[in-house]
Amino acid sequence: MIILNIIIYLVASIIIIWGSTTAMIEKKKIGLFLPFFTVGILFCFNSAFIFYGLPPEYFFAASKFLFLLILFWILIIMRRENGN
Amino acid sequence: MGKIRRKFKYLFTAGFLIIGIIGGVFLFAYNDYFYNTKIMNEISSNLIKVTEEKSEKINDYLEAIERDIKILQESDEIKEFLKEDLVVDESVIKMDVDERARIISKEIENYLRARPEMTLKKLQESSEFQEIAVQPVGSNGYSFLFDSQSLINYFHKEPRRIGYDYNTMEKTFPELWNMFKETSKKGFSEGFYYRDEPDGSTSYKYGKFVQIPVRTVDGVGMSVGTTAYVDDYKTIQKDSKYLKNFNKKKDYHNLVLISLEGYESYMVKIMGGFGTNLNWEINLKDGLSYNYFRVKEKQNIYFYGPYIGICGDINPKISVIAPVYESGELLGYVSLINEMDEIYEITEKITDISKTEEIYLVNMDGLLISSLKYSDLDIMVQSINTENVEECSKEGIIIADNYEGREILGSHKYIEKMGWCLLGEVDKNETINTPLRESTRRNLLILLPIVLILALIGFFTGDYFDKRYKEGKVREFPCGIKRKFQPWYCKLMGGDCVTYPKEKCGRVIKIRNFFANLKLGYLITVALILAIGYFFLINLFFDYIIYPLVTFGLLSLIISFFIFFQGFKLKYSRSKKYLFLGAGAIILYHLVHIPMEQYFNTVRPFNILYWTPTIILYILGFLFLLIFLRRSLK
Repeated sequence: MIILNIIIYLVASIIIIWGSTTAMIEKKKIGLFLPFFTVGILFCFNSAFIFYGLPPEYFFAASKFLFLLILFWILIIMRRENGN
Repeated sequence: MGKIRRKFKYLFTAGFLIIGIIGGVFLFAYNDYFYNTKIMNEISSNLIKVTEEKSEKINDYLEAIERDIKILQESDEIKEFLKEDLVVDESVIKMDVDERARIISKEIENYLRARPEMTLKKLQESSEFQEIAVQPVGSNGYSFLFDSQSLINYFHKEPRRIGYDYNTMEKTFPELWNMFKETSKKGFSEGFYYRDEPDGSTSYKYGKFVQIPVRTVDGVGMSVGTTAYVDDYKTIQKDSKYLKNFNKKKDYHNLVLISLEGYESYMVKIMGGFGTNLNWEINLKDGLSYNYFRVKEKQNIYFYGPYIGICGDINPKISVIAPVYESGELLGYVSLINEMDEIYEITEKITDISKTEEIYLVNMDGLLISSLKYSDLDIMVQSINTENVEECSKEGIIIADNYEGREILGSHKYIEKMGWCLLGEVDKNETINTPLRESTRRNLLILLPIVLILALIGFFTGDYFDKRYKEGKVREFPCGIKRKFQPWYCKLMGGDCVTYPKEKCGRVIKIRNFFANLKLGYLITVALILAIGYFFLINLFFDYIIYPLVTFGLLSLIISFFIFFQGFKLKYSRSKKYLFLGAGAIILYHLVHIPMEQYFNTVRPFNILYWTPTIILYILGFLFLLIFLRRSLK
């Protein structure tokens, strides 16, 4: 069953990295899509961690902190794009 | 985002359904937590308590025996007895030899009945039969087999006697010859007689001769002779009222005095082994002999047991032996022997932990020594090599497989005096898993209609608002309470409060407008209230919180709320729905993931498959946000 989660993470990371990279090139706005690119990389990491066994608790905390930063980053982008 | 108008019923149905499902997930999680932690802890502590209580009772019982043996150790009567000279006792040899003859003749009979095809020649070639036919009796005595009619010996300890014709002894040893003849006629005989020894001397012996009722296939009928030397059996020719009263009052099975040489020289109740020596080869397998050697070596009080006596005993016994001194000089040993009844009474006494509870004893070799409630494994035969036995010297409770391979909750207590392990076990499946399954099924049956009813309530409520909205009734505040809410609403929306109509019913309530106009401060307040409320809700279900996980999770939840509300502030665009979908999925992910993570880390880990739906939600959330950004930049 681990393999299912690994596949989901890998497929998701490929789609997100592909989507964000093409968007960076097409729209010529790297900063806007960089958080999504990072999310793709983090998902890729997650699939590797599942494959090699669950990482220690502090890694989970670090991973959660990174996702928190990314969400905050996305919020800032949304507000800026909306002009408020 | 399309118009909210006419869509309230769908929104309310979905909302109420989600609330019901989340509530259900919480209920199931709590139920699982309750059975796996609270009930398991309760049963574990009860099991430990019962094991400790029973082991204390066993220890109290053993300590009472120890106190008694210490009293006897200092008893002047016993010291006087042990100082007495030992006397050769003819009645004792008779008792011992008769009992041995009975056992050996029965063993031979059983062997011949089980193998009716055996001829005399084959029997003589069989080492197995040789071991049964020629057995030690007393110190130097033995058993032998001879032809009942011809009186020719077929099996004997001394090779010179094999083939020997006992008819030749008619004149040299007439008492013995007469007994042989009597056995041929009557089937048995017994008596004292003189006999020549290999060194040429003559010894005084006692023998019992019994005809075996089964013949060999070639028609040979045999008799077994069991003989021992009279001089080997020694006792104290004295009786003690004090010791008899002591034994009767304390209800012991027996009280035995052992001489310095190892003779069981005095017994309150005459039983097998009386007058014999614990150093004899035949006695070495006996539990009393084992304990005697230990006490002899360490010169201290020792318990041993349970053991089965060598002379046709069937009840397991325990013995305690103490050395007896006078002015520093060792006089001999005193032993108390008791049956296991009282210990069995303690272990078998029913407690109310669980229907599947099993409390039993194993000895230092892992041998089962008390009966089991739910299995008919033989005591003193069956080995129990489980994790619960291995962990005996350690404190605590374990979850492991029992002797049948079933998963159990097990506690253990080491009983030092005897080297025993008292084990308490309850079936985990019966005690926890089955009630949990039943409770889950029951909750599911209750929850399903509740969730459906909630969805229906949501549908009808939404439908009601749809109709009201269509009729324009909710476009304004309900007149009854409008005055109270108008200033608050006006302030909240950041509207023009001066021109705000004060006398008429208020402005239109539009969810979209409400969130779009909501000030950032209020937005943060709402998000914080939701997050803190959620934090306390989680707190209710778990004993402790893993703060880094929950803190980051809750902060992510707040930010997800902000992103979601941001959607209301955006000008109308078709891609806005992706923002709502993305942020909504991330919010839902956090709502479900945080309690799951807590449960995984604080209660027990579960299958990784359960994470899959939340992972998909999270991935979809980011995907939708990415799509929103891509489309909104076109």
